[in-house]
Amino acid sequence: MKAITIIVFLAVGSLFADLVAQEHILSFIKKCESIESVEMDAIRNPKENNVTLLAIRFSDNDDLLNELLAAFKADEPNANEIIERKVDGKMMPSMITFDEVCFSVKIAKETKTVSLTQMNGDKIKSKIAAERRKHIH
Amino acid sequence: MNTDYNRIEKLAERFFDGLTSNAEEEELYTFFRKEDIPASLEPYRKLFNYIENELPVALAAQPRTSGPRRRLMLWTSIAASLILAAGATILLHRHTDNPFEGSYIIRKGVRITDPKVIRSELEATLLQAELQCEELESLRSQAFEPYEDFIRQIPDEYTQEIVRDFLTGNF
Repeated sequence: MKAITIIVFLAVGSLFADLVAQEHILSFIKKCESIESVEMDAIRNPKENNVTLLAIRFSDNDDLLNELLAAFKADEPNANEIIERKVDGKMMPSMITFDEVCFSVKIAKETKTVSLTQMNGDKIKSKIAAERRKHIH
Repeated sequence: MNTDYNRIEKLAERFFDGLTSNAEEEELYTFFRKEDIPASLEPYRKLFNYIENELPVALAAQPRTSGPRRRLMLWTSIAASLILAAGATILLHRHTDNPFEGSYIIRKGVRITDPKVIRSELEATLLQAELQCEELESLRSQAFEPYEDFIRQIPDEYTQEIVRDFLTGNF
């Protein structure tokens, strides 16, 4: 009985592990849903009832950008991979990958528009697998 | 019968991904030669008939020209076939009438689900996401460049993958 309880807790824990891994970024996204100046696009898979791609855009909002960067920083220790780029002399995250989801950030200097894209499941796996295949050949 | 049609749909998807064998392609050509096929698969008929019958003739009929011009014409033919294939893929996914069913956009705090309104926005978003991915994958492979010469010297591919995983912290 004790063993079964432990197994159940471990199974439930692992299910939530990936969600907890990006909790700061997900909280940021949740907050953005109620901000009028933020545009959001969500592509859902109705059969599996989940979001496969979520894109957020906002312009000219340094406070929100700083919140986003802070969220990335907070979730960094749980990430599988981080790609950073130098923008205006500062290293900024471009992509952060977790087990089943990745987030990419693009900042357009001219328009000061920040785009955050969340991609789930097969989309990133196939991309990363394709990249791996390129390296093999 | 439904299973046969499902199989044909799956084979068609594999065809567009470049994964079909010669036997599977022959199966597709044979199927689309039939008179009576479901309406949902009808859009494919022209494409597969073209690829089976007309494309080889068109390619054979082209005069052999010298080096770069011949390559350009070959690539143009391939590009034309790919565009036809892409069009058929879009048709396949559109046969449900709303490929973005369940999706939405939020503008000025208002959630919009009307497919007529959101379709072009979401298609643009998808394209941007794909381009962003491509750009980042290219950055990623650039980061690997200094190590690739070393990794390629490892005799077996399985060990190469382990080393790459180690370098990316996935080990």
